[in-house]
Amino acid sequence: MRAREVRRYEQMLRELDITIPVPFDARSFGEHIAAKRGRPLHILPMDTSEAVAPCGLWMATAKADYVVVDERAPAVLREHILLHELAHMLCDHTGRLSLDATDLSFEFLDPAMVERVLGRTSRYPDEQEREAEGLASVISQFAARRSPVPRPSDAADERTAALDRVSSALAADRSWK
Amino acid sequence: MSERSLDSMRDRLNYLFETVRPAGKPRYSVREVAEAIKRDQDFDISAAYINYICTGERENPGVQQVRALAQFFGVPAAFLLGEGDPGQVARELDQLRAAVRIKERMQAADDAMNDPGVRVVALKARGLSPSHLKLVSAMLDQVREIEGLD
Repeated sequence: MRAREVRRYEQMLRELDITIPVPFDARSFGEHIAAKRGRPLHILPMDTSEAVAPCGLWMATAKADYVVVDERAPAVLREHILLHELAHMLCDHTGRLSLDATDLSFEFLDPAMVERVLGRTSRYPDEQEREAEGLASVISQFAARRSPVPRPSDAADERTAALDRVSSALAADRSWK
Repeated sequence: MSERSLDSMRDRLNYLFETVRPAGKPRYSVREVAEAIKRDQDFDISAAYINYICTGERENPGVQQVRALAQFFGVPAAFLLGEGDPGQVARELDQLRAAVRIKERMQAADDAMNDPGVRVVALKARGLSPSHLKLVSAMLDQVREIEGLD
């Protein structure tokens, strides 16, 4: 990821006033995001083993957010999946579930026919996937550094930067005890 | 998995008409199929001829005609000709129908966005393979249960 992109995601986290919990765990991070959004978040553990690879899903209704995570996936992957879906929520992605010919692969059926039957509704651009993955990885990096608040990367906000240094130093300190 | 008989040419062609439907529309008419084959494959087949196969009046249509129909419906000609195991293609067609049903369900949920009575508004996910479809369906069920719909 380019430095400019990383800065953009950091900026996004600051603007949303998102705190990264120390030590990091995706579930309490999810609760924090739910509180910020003022919407309940339901994490639905489901068996996704029928899918080719463990996957995550986010569904937003007028009442709440729902994220499916695979209960049988390894913990690290499960956390990453949850973080990825949370990143979609943070980015306020408006894309809807897409189901088009490119998502389905058949051995015998002509892809052109599949497209004709399913219709073309790419409502969910790849851009949103890249953004969610980018933001998730920036959050992971902060989590790995045990930095609770995204640090401003420019000197413009010196006071915040100073506070961040203090708080992350404290966090780092705690982590050794 | 399809339970129906695919033993005769007539069964298989009718099955294609039922499963391979243009998005958001009812089944193709024989006239539409004849016109598309003329346009896309530059092959002459009459609507009446296709209809004869559908009704069983023509049990042994010409191989060229069968190939043209198979190409139109996007399946291997062998399926329509009854060579090999038609179940393989039928299974994929059934999966495709399942995908269409879930898609329609998702779109209904999307369309309900402006209706305050119905709360499922938007879905977000990565690309779906046929094996993901069950999962989406199960998730929809859980969400509807939590929200007290149904």
